Amino acid sequence: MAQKKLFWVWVTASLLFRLLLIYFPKNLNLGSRPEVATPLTSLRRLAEGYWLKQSSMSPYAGSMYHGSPLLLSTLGPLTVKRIKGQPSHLICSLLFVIADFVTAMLIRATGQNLQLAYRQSLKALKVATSEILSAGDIAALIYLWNPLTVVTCVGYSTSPIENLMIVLTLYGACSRLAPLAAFGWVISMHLSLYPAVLIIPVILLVGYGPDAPPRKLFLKGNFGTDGNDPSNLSCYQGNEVTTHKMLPIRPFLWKPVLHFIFWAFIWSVHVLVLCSISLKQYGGLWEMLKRTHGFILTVEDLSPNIGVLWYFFAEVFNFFTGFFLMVFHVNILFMILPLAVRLNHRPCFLAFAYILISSMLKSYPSVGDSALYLGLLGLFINELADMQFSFFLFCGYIGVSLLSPVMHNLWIWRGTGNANFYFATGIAYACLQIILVVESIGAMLNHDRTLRKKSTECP
Amino acid sequence: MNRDETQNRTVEMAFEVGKSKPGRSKPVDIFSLLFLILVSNLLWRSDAIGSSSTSSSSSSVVHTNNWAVLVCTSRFWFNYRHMANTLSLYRTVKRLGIPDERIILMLADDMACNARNKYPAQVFNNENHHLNLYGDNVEIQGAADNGRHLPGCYSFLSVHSPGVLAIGSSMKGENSYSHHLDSDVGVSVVDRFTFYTLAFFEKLNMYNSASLISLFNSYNPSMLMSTAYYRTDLYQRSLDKVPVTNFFGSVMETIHADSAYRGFSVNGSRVAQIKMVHQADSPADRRTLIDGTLQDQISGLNSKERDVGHCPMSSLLNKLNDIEDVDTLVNYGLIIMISMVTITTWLSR
Repeated sequence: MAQKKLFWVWVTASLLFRLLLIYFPKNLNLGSRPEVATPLTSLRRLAEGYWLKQSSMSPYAGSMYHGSPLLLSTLGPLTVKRIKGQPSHLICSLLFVIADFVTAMLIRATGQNLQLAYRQSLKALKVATSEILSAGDIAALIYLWNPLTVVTCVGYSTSPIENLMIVLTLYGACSRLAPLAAFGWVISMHLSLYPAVLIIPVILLVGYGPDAPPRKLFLKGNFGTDGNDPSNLSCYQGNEVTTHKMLPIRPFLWKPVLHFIFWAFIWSVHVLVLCSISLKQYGGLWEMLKRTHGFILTVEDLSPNIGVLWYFFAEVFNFFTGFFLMVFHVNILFMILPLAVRLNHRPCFLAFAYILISSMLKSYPSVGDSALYLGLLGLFINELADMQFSFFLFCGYIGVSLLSPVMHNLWIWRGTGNANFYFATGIAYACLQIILVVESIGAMLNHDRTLRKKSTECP
Repeated sequence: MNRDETQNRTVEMAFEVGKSKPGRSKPVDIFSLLFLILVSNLLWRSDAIGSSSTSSSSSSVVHTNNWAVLVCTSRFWFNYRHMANTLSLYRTVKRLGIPDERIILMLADDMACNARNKYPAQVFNNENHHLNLYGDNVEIQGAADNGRHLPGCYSFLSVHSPGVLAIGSSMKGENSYSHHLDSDVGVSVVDRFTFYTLAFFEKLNMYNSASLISLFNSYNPSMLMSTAYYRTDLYQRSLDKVPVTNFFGSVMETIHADSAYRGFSVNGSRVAQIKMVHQADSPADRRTLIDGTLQDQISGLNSKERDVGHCPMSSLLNKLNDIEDVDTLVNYGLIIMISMVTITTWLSR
C-alpha cells in the first residue's frame, strides 16, 4: 500500500514539474531545438498550416506542415487561442501533459498485464519466482521522469500524441481489445508512417496473448499439476519425456485476429474519408499522401536533427538519392522478419525492438521517440536485469543529451564549429541505440535460456 | 613582419600559378548566375492565375516586375573571383533599376570579412580597386549555411520549360578562365566572361534599349579564351528585338489610387485575402484586393470541373461540397470515431 502511495506521489510530482516548466518565466526555447521539434512534429509548423487552411490555402503549401489534417482540425484551433497573461500555446501544452499522463497509465496497465502473464507462466513451469519488481509502475515512472519525455512534452512537439497512440495499440493488444488496438494502430500509422511495422507484434499479441517463455518449454511437460509421484517423472534433459498430462500450449486464436483486422479496416476507411473531406479543395487524398507519407519516405527536408540521414543525403548526388532512400528504408524492413521469427513468443518485446529500430533509422527522429522506447524498456526490467553495458548506455545517453545542444550551438550560432561536430553526436546517439537493441535482445534470449535451464532441473 | 612575409609568399605562389595556368573557374557557377537571372525574370512575370509564359505586347513597360536571383556556389578564399562576379552583377542589376526587395543574392562564403582579406569589408573586381562591391549601396541581411550543396540542376542543358533564355560562359569541355590576378589581394578578382559582360553593361543605363543580340555579339571568343554559348530554342522572341533591360533592369511605375488602402480583416468565416492578380490586359501591374467570395467561386469551379464523372465517391463529395463548413464536419467525424472506439471497447471487455 505504501508503495502504491509512493507511486502516485511521484506521478503527481512529475506532472507538477511539467507545469512548472510550462509556466517558467524565461522562454526556454525548446520548440526551436532540432532534437525536439522535427518538420513532422513541430507545433509551430502546425500553427502555420492551420493559418494557411484558414486563409483558404492548402495547409501543405510552402512545405511547412507535413502532418495529418485531422491533427490540424484538433490542435489547430487550440494554437490560435491566446489567453492574456499566460504562456503561448498553453492549452496545447496542457493537452500534451494529459497525453503523457494517459500514456504512463496505459504503460502501467500493460505492465500489470504482462506481469500477470509472467507469473502464471512461471508457475506453470514450476520455476521459483524470486523477487519480481512491479514492472508496470517502474516503467510508468521511467516514462514520466525521463528528461527526454519532459523536454518533448514541454517543447511544443506533437510526439506525445504519437506516443500515446502507440502505447494505446500495445495496451489494446495485450488486453485483447481488438477495436482499441486497431484504432491505436491506424491512428499511429496515419500520424507517422513507421508504426505500420507494429502490425506483426500486435497480431501476435492478439493471437497468442502477452509475453511468455518459449512454447517448447511448456511442451517438455515433465510437471503435472496433479502432484504425481516424482519418481515416475523423468528428469532427463528432454529426450525422453514421459508425461501424464500435457499442459495446454497457448494456441493461436484466429478469431481475435480477424476482429482486429475488421476494426482496422473500419477505422482506416473512416480516417481516409475524414481526410478527403478535409482536403477536398486542395488536392484530396493523393496530395495528403504525397505531403505526409511521401515527405517521410523521400526525406525532402535535410535540416539537421539527431538522426543520420540528413548529413548523408546532403552529400549524395541526385542520381543516387533513390537508391540510398531504398537502402535506408529497407534496412528497417529487413530486420522485421528475423526478429519476428526469433521473438514470436514475446510479442511485446518484439514491439519494443521494432520501435527502437525504427526510431533509429527513421527520416526525422527526435528525442520523443527515444522517450517512448526508454519507457517501454522499463516493462521488461525483470527479464533484462542482467543486461550488459547498462551503465555505459546510461552515461552515454546523458552525455549525448548534453553534448548535442552544445555542438549545435557551436555550429550554427557561434560558427566556430561545423556540421561534423553536430553529426558526431548524432552518430554517437545511433551507436548507443544499436548497442541498446543488441544487448537487450541478447539479454532477453539469455533469460529464456536461463528459464529453460531452470525448468528442466530436477526439483 | 610575419604577415607581410606570408603575404608575399602567397602572392608569389599565386602569381606563379597565374602565370602558368590562368585560374579555371568551374563552368557551373557562371552558368548559374546568368541562367537564374534569365529564368527568374520569366518565372516571376508569369500570370498568377494559371497561364504561364505570357508574352506582353508592349515592350516599353514590360520590365516592371523583374526579379533577380544571383547565386554564387563557390566557397573558400581562392574562389574570391566568383564572389566578385556575383557582387558585380548584383551592382549592375541594381544600377539598372531592380530594387533590393526583388533581388535574391546567395553567397556561399564571406570574402569581405575573411581573415585573409587585406582590405576588410571591401571586395574588388578590378586590380585598380576603383570600385568597392561591398560599398554603401549593398544590403546584406545575413547568410545561412546549413552545409547543403545546391543541387546540380543548374546545368542549363537539362532545361525543358518554355520561355527560358540561357547563356553560359563556355561550351561543354571548355574551361572558363579568370581575367587577371590582383597582386595586392593575392587572388584573381574577376573572370573573363564577367569582365566583358560588365564592360558591356557599364555603358548602359536603365533606359537604354540595347538588345540582347548586341550583348551576345560583344563576346569575343579569343578574348574570353572560351566560346560563350547561348541557347535560344526555348525562347520564342527574336533576340534583336528584346532589350537587355528586360532581363537585367526594372522600371518602377507608380499608380495614383484615390481610394483608401484597406488591409484584410477577419470576421467570422469570411476572410478577405490579398491576392496578386496580374491582369493581362492592363498595361501596368496592379495589386488588387479581392474578398473571399471570389476565391471560393474560383476554387469551387476548379474542383467541380475536376471531380465530375470519375467515381461514385466524387458524387458524394460533390454533395458534401454544398456543406460550407468543412471543419465542423471533420470535428463531428472525429467525435463519432472516438465515441465508437469507447463503446466497442467497452462492449468487447
